[in-house]
Amino acid sequence: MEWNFKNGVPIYSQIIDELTMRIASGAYSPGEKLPSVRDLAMDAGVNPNTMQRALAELERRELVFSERTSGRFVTKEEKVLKGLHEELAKRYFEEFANKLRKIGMTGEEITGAVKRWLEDIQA
Amino acid sequence: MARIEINHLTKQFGSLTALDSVALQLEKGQIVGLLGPNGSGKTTLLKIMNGLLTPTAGSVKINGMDPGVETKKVVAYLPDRNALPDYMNTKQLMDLYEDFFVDFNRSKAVKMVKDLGLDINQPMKKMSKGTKEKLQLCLVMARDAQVYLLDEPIGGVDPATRDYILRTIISNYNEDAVVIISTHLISDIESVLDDVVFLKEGRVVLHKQAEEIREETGESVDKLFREVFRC
Amino acid sequence: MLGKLLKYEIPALGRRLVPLYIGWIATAALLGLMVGPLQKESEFMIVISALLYTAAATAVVVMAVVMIIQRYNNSLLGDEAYFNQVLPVTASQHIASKTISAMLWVLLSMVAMAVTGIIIAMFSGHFLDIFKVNWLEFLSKVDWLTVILVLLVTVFGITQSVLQIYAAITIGRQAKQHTTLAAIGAYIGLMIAETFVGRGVTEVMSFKFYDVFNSIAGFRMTMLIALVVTIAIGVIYFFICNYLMEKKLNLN
Repeated sequence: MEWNFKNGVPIYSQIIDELTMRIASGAYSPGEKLPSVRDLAMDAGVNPNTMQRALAELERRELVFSERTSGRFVTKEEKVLKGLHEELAKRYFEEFANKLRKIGMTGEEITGAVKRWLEDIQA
Repeated sequence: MARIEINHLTKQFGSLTALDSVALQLEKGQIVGLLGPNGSGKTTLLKIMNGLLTPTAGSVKINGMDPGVETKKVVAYLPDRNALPDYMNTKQLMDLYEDFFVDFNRSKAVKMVKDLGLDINQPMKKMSKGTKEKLQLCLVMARDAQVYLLDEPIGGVDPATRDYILRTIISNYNEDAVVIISTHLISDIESVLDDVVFLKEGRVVLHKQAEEIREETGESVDKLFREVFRC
Repeated sequence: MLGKLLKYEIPALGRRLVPLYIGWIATAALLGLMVGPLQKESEFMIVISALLYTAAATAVVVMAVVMIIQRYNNSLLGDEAYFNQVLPVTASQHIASKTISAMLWVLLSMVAMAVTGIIIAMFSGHFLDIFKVNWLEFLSKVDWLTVILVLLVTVFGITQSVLQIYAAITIGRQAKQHTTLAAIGAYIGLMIAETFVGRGVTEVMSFKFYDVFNSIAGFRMTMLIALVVTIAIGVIYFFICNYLMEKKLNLN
């Protein structure tokens, strides 16, 4: 998996986004053990303290949990994962709807366009 | 007590002021970028921390002590030039390090030398300039030191080696050590840094967390550097 | 730590000097053959082999001096100092290791010279003459105390000269530029100072011991004084080097 960092955005928040994405997409499956902070930092080419901080934040959001001796694991809580999906979906929809509103589409037009697009790719 | 405390440090060479009342406190568990253009005093500062230059005024304390035998036991220094006796080969140089530095971790050195594809029996004088630099870095990073002072560690190496060096610095990181990397190639290393120190004409003009800079200015450290040091 | 420094310092000089000793001994063998069994072949060859022997001897002396200077200058004040001066070792240990190693190789060079003498005797066919001398009688007549005093003065004299060179180099390095010139200047300065001190001591002594000077006891006394003065001056040089290296080090 590749890490790509944008300039001028705190690396900490970029790591959180990337790891959240990996958990949501199942790249790290529920209950899976995460690599160590050092290995993750090495893989991403970032400062270990920054990686540590990002993981602590993910822990606070309950996406990962740590066991004192054996390391960090992706959450197994269905509820949390479902919540994560909903949150990401909401975020993407917002982005997407904002763009379409900007070019002057109404809510109805957007729903219609989405429906048609989904039918098209299924056909 | 901070691992490194620098107070009012001034160094003059004749009429030239290389360092002008520098004050810095560096805590352990950090990777610090000492950033500045050529001639800004980076090398001078590192040399004073190693006891290779005598300050004109002010002081450097490492673990509360002036540079000397006790600090040299815990400081690993990568100088800006090849300083190793060039009639020795890699194996003999490892023996040399092992003899003088209690914290030298031979298996770590062997692994790094192997990773970088160095020939353990080749005398140093037959190596290319780049290979010599790599070997010197391997020996320095193979120590389990408390302070690493690296003068331009990524200056003359190819991108693959540069990545390896950065990964080595990260993997070597420990909570007890402070790593100081002096360089003017900022974009290559900025994601690795905790703190950045900008040195301009012998003065510290900025000392901040790299993440704070990105957060507050919305700019990369590299971009800020270019603005501060615009010619 | 001094032991560890010597472990690297002694072979560093040997690397250059041992091959020269071997060459020197080879020229001695050649010279021995030319003046001995092959004497009738050609006078020209005697001259050539004598020249070769002298050249080899000169090479040893020059190389020893150059290496003694270089090992100090380069490894403690030049580029290699960027490694050596960050070793957890005191300045005095560094200086001591250089001095001891220089001393050892000066002595070994003297031994090498003695060996070439024996080799010449052996190859020229005069080796057995050695046994014709009544060594026991000769040895019993030697004034050992005086011999030992002279040897000590020689050994410490050479050590002191080495330390004088070290001090001159270290002082020269304090200059902002033209450090070599400054070192030579410092050397001349030290020489002058030493001559003054030496003459002063001699004058005082000759005034006090004037009448015993021509006896063997007087000679011994002179040697003893020379020994003490030599050591004292050597110690001063050592402290000059140590002070400048510890308190005033400025590598460029």
